[in-house]
Amino acid sequence: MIKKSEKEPLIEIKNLKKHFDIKRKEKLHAVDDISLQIYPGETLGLVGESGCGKSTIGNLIMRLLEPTSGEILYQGKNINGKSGKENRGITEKMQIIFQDPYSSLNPKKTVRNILEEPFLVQHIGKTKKERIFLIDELCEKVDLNKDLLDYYPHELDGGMRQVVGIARALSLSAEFIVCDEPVSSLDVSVQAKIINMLMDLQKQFGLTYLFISHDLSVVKHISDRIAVMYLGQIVEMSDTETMFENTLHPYSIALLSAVPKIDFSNDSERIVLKGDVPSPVNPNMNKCRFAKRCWMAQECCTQACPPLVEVEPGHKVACFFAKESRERMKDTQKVTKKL
Amino acid sequence: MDHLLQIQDLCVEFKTERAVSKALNGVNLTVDKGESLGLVGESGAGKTTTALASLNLLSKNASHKGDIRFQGKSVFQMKDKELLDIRGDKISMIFQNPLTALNPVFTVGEQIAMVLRVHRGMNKKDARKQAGELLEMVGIPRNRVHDFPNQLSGGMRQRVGIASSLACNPELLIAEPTTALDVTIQAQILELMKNLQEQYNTSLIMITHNLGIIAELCHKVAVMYAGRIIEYGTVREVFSTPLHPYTRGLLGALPSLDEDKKRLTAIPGNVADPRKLPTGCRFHPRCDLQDNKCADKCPEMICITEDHYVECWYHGGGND
Amino acid sequence: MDKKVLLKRMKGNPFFVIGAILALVILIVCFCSPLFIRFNPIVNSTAEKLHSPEGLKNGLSGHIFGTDQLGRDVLSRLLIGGRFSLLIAFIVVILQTLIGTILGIIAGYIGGIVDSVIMRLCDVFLAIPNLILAIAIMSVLGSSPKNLVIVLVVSGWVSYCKVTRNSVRVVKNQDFVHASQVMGAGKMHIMMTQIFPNVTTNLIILASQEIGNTILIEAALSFLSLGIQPPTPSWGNMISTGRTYLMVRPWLVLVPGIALMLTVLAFNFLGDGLRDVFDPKRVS
Repeated sequence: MIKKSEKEPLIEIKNLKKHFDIKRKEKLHAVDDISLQIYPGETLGLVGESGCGKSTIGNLIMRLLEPTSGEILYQGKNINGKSGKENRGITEKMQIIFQDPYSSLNPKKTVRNILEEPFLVQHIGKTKKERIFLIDELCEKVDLNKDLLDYYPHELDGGMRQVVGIARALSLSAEFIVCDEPVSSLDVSVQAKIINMLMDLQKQFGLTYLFISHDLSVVKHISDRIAVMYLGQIVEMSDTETMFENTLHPYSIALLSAVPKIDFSNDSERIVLKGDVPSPVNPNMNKCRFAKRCWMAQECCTQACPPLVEVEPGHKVACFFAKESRERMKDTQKVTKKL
Repeated sequence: MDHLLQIQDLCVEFKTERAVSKALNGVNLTVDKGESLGLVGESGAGKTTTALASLNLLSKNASHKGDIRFQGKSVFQMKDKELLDIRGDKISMIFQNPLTALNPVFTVGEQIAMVLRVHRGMNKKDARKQAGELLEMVGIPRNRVHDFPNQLSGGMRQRVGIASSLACNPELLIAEPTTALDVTIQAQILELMKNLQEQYNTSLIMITHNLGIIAELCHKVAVMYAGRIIEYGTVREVFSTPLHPYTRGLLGALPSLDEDKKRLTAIPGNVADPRKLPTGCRFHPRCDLQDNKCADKCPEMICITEDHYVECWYHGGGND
Repeated sequence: MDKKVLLKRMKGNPFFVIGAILALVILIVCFCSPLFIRFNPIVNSTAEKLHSPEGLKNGLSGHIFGTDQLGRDVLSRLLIGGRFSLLIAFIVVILQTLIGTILGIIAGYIGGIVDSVIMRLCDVFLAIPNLILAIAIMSVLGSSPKNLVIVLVVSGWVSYCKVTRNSVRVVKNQDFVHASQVMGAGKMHIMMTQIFPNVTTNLIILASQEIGNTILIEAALSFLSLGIQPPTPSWGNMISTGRTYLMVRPWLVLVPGIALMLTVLAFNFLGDGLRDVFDPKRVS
């Protein structure tokens, strides 16, 4: 476990906002006032359902999108709003692995070309021979068969394509990698291989991960700390163990109970939320965004937006009734799971 | 015939530009009235092909051997009219993608009503009324009967799909639940399906690679690999004591919310390619228990207990 | 795309095969024509006016397709004219591709104002009818082959630009482009090495379809005396001058007319065939 008081965060985002203009006067609040820190060597899992903004945060940190406001800091230095030249030496340390193994590799290039590109772009390895050596080294890091170097992406299966994507992310000696749903489109057995590989590489090279996923079980397995997002805001953040043993935010509780489990031992109770996820367009900034579907919602929830506060060391929740949510579960519209 | 659906020695091949793909290689399966069966496997295992074959909906470049009998009658020998009668009425299918399974130019009420008019011969007025009731049954307010699919969310669209599949109270429902839905919405749909199943005693074949959904919704499970069923039994039996190395590998590869796994099992090698299947037992190149027999001959399904069958030389095998 | 699969599809597609063979034959015959024609296509020979086609009676030394009103061998004029028409068509298509692709990639990738400006430019050029443009340019600058090429390029580059721009807009949202951005690649690098290889398929299909179209437009312009000027032969101007003799010496119109039709058909088939071969949604 990382002792936060001893280390400075590798990545820090402060009050990050991203609003998209869709029509006149209509703004889509993809990310609203998010602040978080990621410490060296740890994996922060970012969990939430579609439209919650988790992928947007990944893109903002990687500067594929410009934030509407807020700061992004790498080792304390602000990388937001600076040009490529000014950030030289930093941005190469931050890389990303994409979800879709089919669109993350250029279909017209061989694996060798794809892995050579980072070296060409960054002028590493002046001669062809040097670059070949570097590529071979990369292949060994991810256990990629060198015979596959002359293949095209469509000749490889999803799992191998992800391995190439991982190799590419490691090519510039990255320190921080955003993993944007890297295993969601893979079969179960391939998923396991990639997760194991990511964890091994983290140990071997001291990597820091932001692991974005909607799959709670995967996130639980790989993350040191977890942040749960709902409609552009973080509703709960803590280390993994606490998140699963002492879940406090009603949405997190519902999310955990919604996952279908193989569990024959007891009748665990499931909370079924009413209704659908509301629209992130022009949300009411003065109420809790989860109130409409929340079983504990009261008057005050529709009059102010609960801030993200620390309820116990290392555990932050954005709910006025966080401490009571576990008792209040009995009042919910529950469905008992019988077998 | 006692069985509602009986699949016997089904083999299906697809001819593509590059090679012949052996999608199914001897599938044997039965589903009885009121039973819910989960069909589990990874991509390429043949689950969707099995489902489509049951409705004789295979594409033109497919050739098949073996038989599928529904209520005693062979699906491949039925005339077109009989098939059209059965599809949507006695056997219904819920497709994977709620976004494309509904026609965007018709209202949702109209799409459900169409099923009723075709199969039940209802007039427009009655059909529309019934459509409204069906929507209520799946938890959508009746007044949304006049909405178009793009006005509904993904979860609601999936529910409309369920409503139109259940409109004629089918004997057998084949469902490939969408993986594109959020977990909380998926939970709503799972609960809905459980209730409906209890209420109407519909037989169900649930196709998925999500073992958790099967555990919650189904009595029995069949694990497929390379076009064959390699393990079969009650969900409880198969998931708590998996016998086939592939099933064990699958269960070990899943990260769990409940238990702490140090390391996930990664089954070595790649999923069998239907265009180049291994000899003998299709799983043997990836199996840590393999020996000489495995590469030579494909094992037959043997009965371990009344609730548990497996196809594996390690657990016996040969004729029983 | 797998080369083996492509070749297999090419062999199996009747349009492609017919179009390719026909186009190849026409190209070879036209461009190699100086090697075997016996008559001068430009020099008049009043003694030999309006001879009927002799067919293969005298082999190549006879007038296989007869002579025209100025005594010139029709076959020779046909083949030389073909050379000009085809050469102009290819040059025009190449230039159109170049201009259209460059502008299309810039518009598609950079987007924003640059995209709007280029698209409005396209709209302007689309609104100008090529006939009026031809008349305007030819009358002001004179009717040389160079001006003909300019007219044809100017009136046709827009479709390349739009096709490329649309392809680029699809490609640039692919994750591999984001991956290049993240590793520090500049815009030029991405446009040339990542995006361009992915738009070539559509370009090849468009270009092969446009060759036929360009040949037709050139023929039409020449027919109206706005294109290739006599005495230089062109299928268009051969049809035009042969018109007067249509009732008495029909071959003067028929021969270049059929040649034109066959050539355009060949390239259209080729274009259709290529589209089927490359189309990813093709049911196999």
